[in-house]
Amino acid sequence: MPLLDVSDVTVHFGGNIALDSVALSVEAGSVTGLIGPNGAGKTTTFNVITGLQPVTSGSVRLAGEDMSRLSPYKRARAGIARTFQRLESFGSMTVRENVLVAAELRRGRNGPRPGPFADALLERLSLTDVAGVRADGLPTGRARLVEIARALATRPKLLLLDEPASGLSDGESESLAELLTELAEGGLAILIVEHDVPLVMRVCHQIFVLAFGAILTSGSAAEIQADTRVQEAYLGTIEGGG
Amino acid sequence: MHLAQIIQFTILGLATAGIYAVAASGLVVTYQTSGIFNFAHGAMGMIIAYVYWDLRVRRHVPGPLALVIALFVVAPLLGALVERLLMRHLAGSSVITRIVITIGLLVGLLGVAQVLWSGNITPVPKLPRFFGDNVLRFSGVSLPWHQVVVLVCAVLVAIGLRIILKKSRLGVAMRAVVDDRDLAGLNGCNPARTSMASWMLGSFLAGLAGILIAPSLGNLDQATLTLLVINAFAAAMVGRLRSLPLTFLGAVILGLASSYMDLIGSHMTTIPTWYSDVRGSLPTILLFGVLIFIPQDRVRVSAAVERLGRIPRPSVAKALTASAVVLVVVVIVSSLLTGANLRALGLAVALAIVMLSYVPLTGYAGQISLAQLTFAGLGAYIAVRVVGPNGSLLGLVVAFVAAAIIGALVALPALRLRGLYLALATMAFALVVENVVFAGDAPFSSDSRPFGRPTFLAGQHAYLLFMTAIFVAFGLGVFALRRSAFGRRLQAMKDSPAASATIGMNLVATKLAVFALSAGIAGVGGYLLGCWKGQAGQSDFSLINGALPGLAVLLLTVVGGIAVISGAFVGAMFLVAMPRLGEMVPSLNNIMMILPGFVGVTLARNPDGAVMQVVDRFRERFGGSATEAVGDAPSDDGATVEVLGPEAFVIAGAAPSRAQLDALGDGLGVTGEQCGAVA
Repeated sequence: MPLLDVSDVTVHFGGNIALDSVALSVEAGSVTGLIGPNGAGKTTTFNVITGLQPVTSGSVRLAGEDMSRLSPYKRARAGIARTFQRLESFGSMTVRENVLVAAELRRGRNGPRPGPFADALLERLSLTDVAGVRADGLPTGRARLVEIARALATRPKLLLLDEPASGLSDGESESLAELLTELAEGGLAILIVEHDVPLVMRVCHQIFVLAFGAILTSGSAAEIQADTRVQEAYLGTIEGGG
Repeated sequence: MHLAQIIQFTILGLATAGIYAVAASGLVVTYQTSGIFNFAHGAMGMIIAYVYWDLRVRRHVPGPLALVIALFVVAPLLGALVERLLMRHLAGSSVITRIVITIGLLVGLLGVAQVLWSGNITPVPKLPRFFGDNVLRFSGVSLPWHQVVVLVCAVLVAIGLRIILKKSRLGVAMRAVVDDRDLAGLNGCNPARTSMASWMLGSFLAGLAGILIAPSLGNLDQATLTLLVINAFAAAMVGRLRSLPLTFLGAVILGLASSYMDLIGSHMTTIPTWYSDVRGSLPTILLFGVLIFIPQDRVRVSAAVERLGRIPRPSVAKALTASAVVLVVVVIVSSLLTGANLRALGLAVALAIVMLSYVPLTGYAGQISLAQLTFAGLGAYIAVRVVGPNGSLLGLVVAFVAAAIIGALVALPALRLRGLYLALATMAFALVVENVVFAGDAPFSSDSRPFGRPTFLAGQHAYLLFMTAIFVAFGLGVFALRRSAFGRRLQAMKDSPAASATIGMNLVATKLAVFALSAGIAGVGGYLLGCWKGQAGQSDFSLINGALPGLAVLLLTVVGGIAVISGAFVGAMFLVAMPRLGEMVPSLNNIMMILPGFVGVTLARNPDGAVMQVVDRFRERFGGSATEAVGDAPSDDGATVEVLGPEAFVIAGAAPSRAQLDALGDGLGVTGEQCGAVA
């Protein structure tokens, strides 16, 4: 059984169909990619999974449990965490506070103490040097890492990353790829929306292609790269390296 | 009920609707082009109605000429002035700044009106109806010509606005500016001029509504006239501040509902209290209802980037020092004061507690409430009813608990609301409580409900010290909250509700908790205020009426610094010192009446509040890193003791010198390490 199971999700915005019978699944311990041209519905899919966007029909299951009726915070407590394409860091708080507030919300009986846990996450994402800096003062690339650290602080089972590499330098992108691989090896399920196609091809075990609100196809990196329909959807941009 | 009677009340209802429609469409026009909801719309209408009265009745200018001057010269001029001086500088400012600026304008215009047209003014301000009391009669229906004029005006406004917005260049430009100000500018339209035109139009419509509605009042009253135009807010909300046809529909619903309630009432032998209460508060009830049921945006990824304010985070040592300083200063200063000055100081301390309730709610959590003084009044009223007029410390507990429960109950329907909508909903709540609860209790409504103190706190100085201790205790509590996990949650919720929800925060529970907490603090402040005065009531806790109205309380809290604990103290001192100074030095009285409103207006440039600005200046001047500058200046605490009390403001005038403020800000301990202090 996949950890995340999105089945038959349809979303209408007024008369427009944003998502049309979208189905996808994410396995624990793997990185799954969700790619597609702009406006395909990738962020809407994330909003559906996290509960920010109600569905017209369809269901979202996490480890077999139906999440469809749960509010966003309950889904978060069930183990879904995310980052945002348009940054949603807590701008007036320090980087450490950003991570700490998430860790505190997830403090359990047996869990780690929020303070040291937050510090460990900052260390892991190389953010220790900016721990005391206000989050809205960071360049985009590092602010994205803060969002990842904050998401990880909730100790999720499933991590949704919305364009985490945009604004990152090549070096940062490289370490992000390593981080994602490590996290997946640790058992985390990761679903990633990313325009940096080489990165996606490199880290993802499974890729779903979304176009015009519907899943066009899915498969391994090699299969997707060979698929002419995907190339058409992108108007050939994959050939150029994205 | 005869058919003729029904027809008559229908037409009267439509005439009322006409006034609401004119006023509301003015609101919509300015909101649409500038993104600013003009809380001062009613006050602008009031000013223009008074100008018209002044010209026509007092200076015997012929009616039509007076009308032309008031509506086509003064009104557009006022609108242009407001746009040029205030609104133009608000692009990109936070929601709270946008709201408080127009509240400052409202308070300021009320002050101006008081200066120009109050006291023993002759003749008694009263506007005649158009065509006097002549009545149009047809088939059993008799209709005052004035109402016919109102209906004709409403129809003309509807047609005129349609033509202006849909057909004229100006209308196209207005719609373009709403969609994208910068883009419209690039395409050859002048956003500044367009925005100014819309404020001139809005001011004209406010003035027309004010002039049309004024005769129904009998004698003119500034606050009542202002509130009458505020009634139009409900109609504008039906149009969701966007659609003019729906706004007119809202006005018709409001007008007809009021009129039919009058019709039904006229057939009752005795009108029950609840009936007249509902009738009197119908516009505010409708406003609350529309806000609750209007489709709102869900929690979503925020669309616009706005400037996030700073929330200072002083060290424990600083907070404790500041607390000690406040206590010592109040003790020393109060020992020097007697009579009215002592009463003013005590009032300031009680109000400081009410204002402190804004710090967690609005400063930390970003929830805007116009009802904090109302919660204070409810706390006071319920506590005095429960423990009786003989003083008891139990009253404080009752005030806290009762206000907290009511705060949570108000928050419950308002949970989905944010920003402007939350401000409007809490305003509606404040007005309903004032008109129904406060006005419904005889001694309370006449400000003469007795509040007693426990015998061991009977002395003025003992009680003042007691209140100060409670302020300090709450201040330390709020300080601890700021450093706690819950405080971080509040701040996170303010910065990004969407991200807060997706890290597992229960926004509903968090909002309820902070509303309850802050209402409870306000309730205690209200009860202390009552006990300090000995007798208190409606006008002590009113939103617009009274010497220190709720709107001014919010205004001065924001001026002091909404997220700064000592800002509440400083704001309260200002609020009380200004009218007191006016009493003591009559030549300053007029300035003191206008000043509270216009200090609020400075916020556009200084949204973090006076205390933070002073701290910043202090650091700039004395160089070095922030913490160093603060650490180097403890010797200033000695000087602080001498300038802290309200008499310092009395001596120094309304605007204390910068050196004094520097010392003041520092002495109150806001100068700790700040989260904003980037190395």
